[in-house]
Amino acid sequence: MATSAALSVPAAPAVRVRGRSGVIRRLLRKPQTLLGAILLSLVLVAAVTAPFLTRFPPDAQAVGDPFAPPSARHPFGTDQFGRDLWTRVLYGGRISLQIGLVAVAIGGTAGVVLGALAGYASGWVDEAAMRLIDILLAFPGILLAIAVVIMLGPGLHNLMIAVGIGAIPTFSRVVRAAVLDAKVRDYVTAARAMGAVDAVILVRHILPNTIAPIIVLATLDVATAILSGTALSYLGMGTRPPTAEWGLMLAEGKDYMRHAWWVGTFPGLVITLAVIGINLLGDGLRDTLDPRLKKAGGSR
Amino acid sequence: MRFYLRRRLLTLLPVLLGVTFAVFVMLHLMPVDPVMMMITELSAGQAPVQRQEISDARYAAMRHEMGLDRPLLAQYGSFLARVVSGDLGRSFQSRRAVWDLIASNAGATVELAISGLGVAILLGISLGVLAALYHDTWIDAGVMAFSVAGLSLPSFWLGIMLILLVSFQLGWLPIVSSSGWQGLILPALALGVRASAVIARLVRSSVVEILNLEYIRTARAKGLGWTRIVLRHALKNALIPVVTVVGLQFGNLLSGAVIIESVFGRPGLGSMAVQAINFKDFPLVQGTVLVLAMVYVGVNLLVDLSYAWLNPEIRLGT
Repeated sequence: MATSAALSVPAAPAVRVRGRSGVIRRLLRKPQTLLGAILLSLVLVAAVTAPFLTRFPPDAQAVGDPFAPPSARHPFGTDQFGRDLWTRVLYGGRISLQIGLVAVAIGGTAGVVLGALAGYASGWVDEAAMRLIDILLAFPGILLAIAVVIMLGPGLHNLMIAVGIGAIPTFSRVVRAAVLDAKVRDYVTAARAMGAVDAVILVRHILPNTIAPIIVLATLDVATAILSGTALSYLGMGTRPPTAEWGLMLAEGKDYMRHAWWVGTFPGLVITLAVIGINLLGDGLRDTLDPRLKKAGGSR
Repeated sequence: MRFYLRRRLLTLLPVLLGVTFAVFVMLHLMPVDPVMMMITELSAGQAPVQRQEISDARYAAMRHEMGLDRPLLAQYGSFLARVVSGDLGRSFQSRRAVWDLIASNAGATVELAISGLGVAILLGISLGVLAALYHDTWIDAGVMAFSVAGLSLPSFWLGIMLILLVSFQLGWLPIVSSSGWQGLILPALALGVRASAVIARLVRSSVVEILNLEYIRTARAKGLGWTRIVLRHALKNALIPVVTVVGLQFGNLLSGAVIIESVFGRPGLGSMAVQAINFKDFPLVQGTVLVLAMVYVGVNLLVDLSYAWLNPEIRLGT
């Protein structure tokens, strides 16, 4: 009964679900955001349609001469094994983007649950969650991911988990703050007065109102996760050869840079373009959906 | 201020305990048997000793001797006591004390991090001020574009590109990172650009905000020169929030140095840690992670204290 009573409380107003097309139009009105959306779409489409954009398999060796410079046949040249770099960059996007998305899904889910519990429960639960976050934050930048990879061992899945754990603190802090703000609002008091249980209040009434900062953070964090993931692969702690992955390709290409500039140039360029695209889109989303985050998260 | 200091130190205690516990647990979760690690170390052999080469009795005795059959918390207590007394164990590879190895490599990393911070502050503040002075012009747009690019460039790729362009193509700087200041330029640039992008954004918005305040208008009305107003009046106040970011960036630069050192083949904590990971030299990895985390926590404490000192609202808890 409590549930049905809670459902009858008017839905919380912050997110305008109905005006979705309006939001998208407003979002893409800014040239920077439009540029970001185009860049990201290009990289995504290229990764998804990779088999149609190249005639070589990503691991096939000697499809050209070793270290052949960029040409019509090999737009990005070939590497030391004569593998086509255009093909490997296209397929590499699948792995690198996957790392970014899965890592943020892992870190975001854990962070949202932790932040929501901390913000809603208060007291010792909040205190314990915040100290846990402080401990995670004590390992700066990529060090946390490195520490986790050392414990779990290298490999794609462990890399995703490691990068994901690094994303937990920001999510939980932002969600906790949003929940703290939301739980004293009238619509929550109303839901409680009508007998809604805590879980219903949290899931049906409070969390939908924190969705805007979560979307913004998730977008920007995909960029951070891609950078961390490629960095770990570059250091040899992520994907293993002969997988086509942007960071790993950079590590392999670095030693040959003097004679073949293209082997280390194109993978890095594509990482940069993808991350610029996500960052621009994320900035646009933040300005449109949640201007309050601008001050707090300008650097992310 | 004393009240704030006490409160801040109190919250630091669980963090320090948590960090040391996390690093302690790390060794237990690592895909390696500490008993076999110790037997290998004692046998002074280059290749690791295999489990089947050891009798169960010797294994059990060793386990007992190392205290691994004690409860986890008791083991943590001993670990903590050793860490406090400066004993971080011995490196498998070089057999030297981990603490000595960290101490002898820390200088190079701190040097790199400070140079990177120097690049970040110089570039960030000048670009930020420039963008604010020419707000809403193409200069502003250019600085913001730099900032987006700076935040999006992988630092290791920037390093590789700098080597390619400046050393290989132009021949301006040595390829192999030399010990002099010349060898520091490219790594410091590669490391500092990201932080400079963060600082430039912050300085820009902070200066723009302050230039619209009344006291600046008063200064202009008094007939003070624009340069003097910006440098003496606006910048001084605009830089207060920058202090926090600079402090936080220093911690990020320390961890960023891990990658940059590998790119440029520089000695330091980062390249030492990466090597240690590759050689499965776990005590060295554990020690380095612990020390870097502790330094980061310490830097954050200093940042918070300096910020509280600059901004009374924080220390008074309002």
